[in-house]
Amino acid sequence: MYLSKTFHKIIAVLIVVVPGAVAAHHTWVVEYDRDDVVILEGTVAEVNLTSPHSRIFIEVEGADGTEVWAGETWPLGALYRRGLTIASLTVGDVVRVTGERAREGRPGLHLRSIFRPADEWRVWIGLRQDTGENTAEGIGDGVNQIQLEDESV
Amino acid sequence: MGTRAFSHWFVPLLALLVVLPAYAQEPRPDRNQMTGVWIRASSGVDRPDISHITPAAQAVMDAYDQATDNILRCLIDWGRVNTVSSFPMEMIVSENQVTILYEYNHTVRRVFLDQTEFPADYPPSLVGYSIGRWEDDTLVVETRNLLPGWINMEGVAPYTDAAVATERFTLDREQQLLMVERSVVDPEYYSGPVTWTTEYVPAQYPVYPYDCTIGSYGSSLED
Repeated sequence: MYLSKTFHKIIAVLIVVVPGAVAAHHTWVVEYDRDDVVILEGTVAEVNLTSPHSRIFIEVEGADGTEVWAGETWPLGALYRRGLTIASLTVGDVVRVTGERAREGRPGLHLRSIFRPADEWRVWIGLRQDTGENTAEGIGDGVNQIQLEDESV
Repeated sequence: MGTRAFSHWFVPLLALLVVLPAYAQEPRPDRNQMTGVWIRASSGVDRPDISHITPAAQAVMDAYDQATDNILRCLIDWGRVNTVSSFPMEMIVSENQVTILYEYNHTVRRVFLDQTEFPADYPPSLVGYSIGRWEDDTLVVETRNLLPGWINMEGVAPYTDAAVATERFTLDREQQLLMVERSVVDPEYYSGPVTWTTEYVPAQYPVYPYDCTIGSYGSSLED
């Protein structure tokens, strides 16, 4: 368990219980636990927009040192349509992200949102409708109002 | 008959004979307007009713192993490319062929409008061999020669290599909607057709690259 007190350096991993059934027909569901939503704060270490799945690596610092988390997400085209392009993020950007934690315990998550405090840029790239979480106002409490929208790819 | 009388009716007739075939071959507006990039009108995945599935198909579903799924090799079949959301498709309508370019896995389909018989020796493929015809302004496409595939992800709704897929593309110009009714007839796996309908709207974005990288799925495949 990671705990966060300082915005730029420390990781906060919060576990949020999300109601609703877990669909059984999706690769995401096999890999990631929808009932375990992780909130990370750190710096962008690598951006790899590709297909079928993209990855954004976030370097976070915790009590045991630095750890790199792999944020898995949509293929390139789907990200562009959601507002995340190759110009959106730069290595070294300080960000706060939310995502569903990898089931097998590795430092990985299926990304839902990315927020960059420096310019308050935010993008929602979750599987379902935008909950409004992770904004300049904070994490928000919308995570408990998720509605199943799209389980594809 | 004098020269003057002859030219009086012959010249207009000649002009008519020249103009008519060209006019007849001019693609009709509705057909032309199917050319473009289309994306689903609503998010989600088509999950057709398969309650009439046979025991043989159920056995195939029970034995599904994701590790052997073509999708992990960046390949997609006719069924799933037409049920999965999020990705646009570009249609290019010409006189003798409709070309469908899906963003998903760079899948390409050619629908031949100038053929009525399926070739006996064409190799089977994931998207099969497609022959189309116009019924008024509805494009009707029949696809055979499919490799065994799936209609839905994660081992749901399989079909055999004997499956025959039919699509009816109809444009609603006023609503700017392209409606596609799809059905799969596969007696070994289903006691009747498997059907679903998808509505598409003109995409507000281009078709983006989909440079699929084998192993990009899931952590267990990344190691």
